[in-house]
Amino acid sequence: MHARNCLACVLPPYLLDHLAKHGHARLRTLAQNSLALDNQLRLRRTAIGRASTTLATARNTPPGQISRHVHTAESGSQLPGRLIRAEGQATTGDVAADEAYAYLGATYELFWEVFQRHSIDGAGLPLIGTVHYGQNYENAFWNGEQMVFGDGDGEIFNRFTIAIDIVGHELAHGVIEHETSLAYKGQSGALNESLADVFGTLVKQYHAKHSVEQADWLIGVGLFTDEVKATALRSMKAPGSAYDDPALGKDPQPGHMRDYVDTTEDNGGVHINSGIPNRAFYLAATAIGGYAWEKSGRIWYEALCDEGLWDTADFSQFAALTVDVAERLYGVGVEQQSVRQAWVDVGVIA
Amino acid sequence: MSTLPPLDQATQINLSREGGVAFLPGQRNSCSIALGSCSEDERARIRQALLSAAPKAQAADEAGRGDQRYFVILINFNDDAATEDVRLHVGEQEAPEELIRLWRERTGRR
Repeated sequence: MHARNCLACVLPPYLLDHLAKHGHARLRTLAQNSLALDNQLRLRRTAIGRASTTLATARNTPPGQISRHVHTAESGSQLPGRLIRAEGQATTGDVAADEAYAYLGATYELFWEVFQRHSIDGAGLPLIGTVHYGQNYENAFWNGEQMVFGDGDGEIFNRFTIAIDIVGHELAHGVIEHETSLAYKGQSGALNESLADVFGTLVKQYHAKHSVEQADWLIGVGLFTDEVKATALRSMKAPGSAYDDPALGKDPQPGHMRDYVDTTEDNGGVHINSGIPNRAFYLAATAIGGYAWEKSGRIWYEALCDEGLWDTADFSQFAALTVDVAERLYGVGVEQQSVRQAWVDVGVIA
Repeated sequence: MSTLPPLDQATQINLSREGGVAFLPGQRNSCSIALGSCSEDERARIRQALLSAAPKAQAADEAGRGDQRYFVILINFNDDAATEDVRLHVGEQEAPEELIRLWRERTGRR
């Protein structure tokens, strides 16, 4: 086949699949041939992936025992990069590396001590982090295998390890991914992001031993430099109030369904509309009182792990699930009523 | 059937970078390239960037997962065959160097 006619060379599998089903006859044949080739390649990749998983499993630790591995990308993009601090080793003097090590530890503590979850997969998966990723890189992410943190540009963003809840947020993406396949778009994607914020703030509150009244309910404090008018990336208490600056724009998060943002940007507003379930969690936690990780955190965690959480769950389905879980855990009482009222107050259920 | 429909002078490319740990309206960044105003060399370079990027494309609800950044490439066709627009989502980590270079040149962003 001529290179210009090789569909597998240029079209991603989901498009090939679409063409194979819906294209013209000749196109369907080409797409089906290409899919067959693509499937062969995928099988090979899966085999390689299994080998990689086997290696990771071999390093898994006994329950309650954390295993952190912090690397540096040395301003490059190769992952995981060079190992600079393994579990039990002394501080390195590299602020980002030591923050990553400490905050990965704080995140592990929350999941183990509060929810009895042994790392990301519940089976002791080592926590792999890479700092100094890219040049002035303005982001942090979970890539399906590890956490990655940029240094920020120093003008708008500080280093991304500066905020404990951002480290917790990224690790929580790993936990979420192991428990559910929430589609990363629209309301299910916003639930995905909100859950990462919920566990991110719980890491912060548990580490500081802050009650719901003491907590600031902000995500990413310290991430912005003093050059911009911003207190944080997001506010769970008052979505839409975290920043207002010419360089950043105004925080677009809604805190109520009447202000839901219908957009094609940001995977359908996953980091925008997450403000609604974020505020629901804040309202439930403050109504129940005490320490957020004890009851409201437990309810959200059990909901995340519940088989009833579908990949395409929307806000109202997740709301119903949390109300059910609250009743299952604590009976019909203040917990269940507080959770239900929180979702009513943000306009998700009537 | 060619790899991509011909990128003739009636074609426009819209390139944006999305995703990340937050959506910051003031940090939106995108560029539009009217291929009709490009030299032959430029068109060839852009075509190569698109050909390199297309096999890396992900489904829309996979791109960006876990706060990863990604490129959105929208190719508009305005030809006699009424070719439908093509939209591709390419993860930043998977993006070919040609696409990243094109992005940096056109937006001035890192």
